[in-house]
Amino acid sequence: MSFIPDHPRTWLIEAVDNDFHRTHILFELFHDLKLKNIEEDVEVPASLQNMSLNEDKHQTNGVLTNGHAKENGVLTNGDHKHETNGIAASQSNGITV
Amino acid sequence: MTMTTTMMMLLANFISYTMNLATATQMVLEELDLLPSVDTPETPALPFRASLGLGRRDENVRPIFWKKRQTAYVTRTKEWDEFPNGRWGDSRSPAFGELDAYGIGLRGTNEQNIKLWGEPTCVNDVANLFVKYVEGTLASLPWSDDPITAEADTIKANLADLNRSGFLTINSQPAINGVKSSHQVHGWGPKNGYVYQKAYIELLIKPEFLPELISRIEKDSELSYYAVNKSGSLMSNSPSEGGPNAVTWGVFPGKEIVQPTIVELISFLAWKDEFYRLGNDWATCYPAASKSRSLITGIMDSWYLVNIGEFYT
Repeated sequence: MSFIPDHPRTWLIEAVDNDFHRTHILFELFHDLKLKNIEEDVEVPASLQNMSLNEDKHQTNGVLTNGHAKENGVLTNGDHKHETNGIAASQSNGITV
Repeated sequence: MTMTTTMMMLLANFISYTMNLATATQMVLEELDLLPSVDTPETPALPFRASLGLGRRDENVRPIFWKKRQTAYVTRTKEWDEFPNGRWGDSRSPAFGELDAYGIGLRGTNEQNIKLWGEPTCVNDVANLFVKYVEGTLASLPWSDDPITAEADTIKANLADLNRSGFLTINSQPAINGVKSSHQVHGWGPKNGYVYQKAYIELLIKPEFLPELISRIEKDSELSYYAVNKSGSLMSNSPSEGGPNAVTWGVFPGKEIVQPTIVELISFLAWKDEFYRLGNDWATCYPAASKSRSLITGIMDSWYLVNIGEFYT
C-alpha cells in the first residue's frame, strides 16, 4: 500500500523525466515551414465594402471604444447604470450608449 | 556568537518604524545582510506575481496560459472558494468566470489600440508586431499586458524567426535545468534552492500547417500538444484523462517540491475562449469595412491556438 496518492506521484515522475539538453527542440519542429504570401493584402468581403468606415464600431460619448473604456471616469461594463453625473448618457449628448 | 546572529536566532519577525527617516533602518538591514544585492538579488516568491487578495495568500499554482495576463486570471478565478496550494485541483469545479467581467476584454480605446498596433493589412504586418514585441520595442500585444522579460533572451531570436515565418508566438518559456533560486532572471522561491522549467511554446497557426506540424510532433515520443480553434475543435496527442502537468518547479531545502506552473486541458480551453475574445476585440477596433478588421477576423475565425511541450513524457 502506498502512502503517496497516485496523482501527485505521477506528476512528480513527469516533472523529473525531462531532457533539458534539448533546449531548442520546439523550434526545430518548424524548420523549413513558412507561410506563403505572407505579404499579400487581405481582401475585404464584398458584403462589407459599401459600409461606412465607422459603422459597426462601439462608441461611448463619441469616443470609439471596444466596450471596456470608461465613460467620464464611470465604469460601465453592463453592471452599472449608464449614467454620467446623474444624467442618462443617452439624454446628455444624444448618443445611444 | 555575535549579537547579530543571536538576534536572528531569536527573532522570527521584526517591524521597524522609520518615521520618514529610513536611513538608520536601511543601515541596520544592510548590516544584517537582508537587503538585495548583486550577490543576493531579490527574487520573487513564485514565478508569477502572487495576488494580495484575501484568500489567495496561499495560492501557489497557476496555469501557464495567463502568464502575461495575471489580472485577467485573478478576475476569472475571483469567485473560487479556495485556490490551488501545492497541487492543481479540478478546474471544472468551480469553473472559470465569464468573459464579460470588467478587466477581461481588451484594454484601451480603439484610438489608443490603433495607435499602438497600427492598421495591419496582411499577415506580415501582424507578424511584425509580434517580432517587435519579442525584440522589446513594443510594450504589449492584445494577449500580453506586459513587455517581454529577460527570461526569453535565450530564445528571443528563435521566437522572432517563427513570427517572421507566419507562426505567431503567444507565450513561451525556455527549458531551465536547475539554476539557483537566487538567479537574477530565472530564480524564484527561497534561498539555496534550484529551479527547473520545461520548454513550452504557444502559437497561433494557420490550419494548413497543422498536419505537417502534428506529424513532426508525433515522431518525437516526448512531445505533446494541444491545438484548438475558435469553435472548439480540439486536437491533441495527450492522454484524454491527462491531468495537470508541471512545467515549472523548484527544489528547496526542507520543503516538498514546489510546482507552481502547470499545463492542463480544462484551463487551456478556458484560456482559448479568452484568447479568441481578445482577438475579436482587437478586430473591432477597426471599421467593419477595413482591411485590418477583415484580416484579424479571418485569423481569429480559422487559425488554431497550439501549445507544445514535454507535458506527458
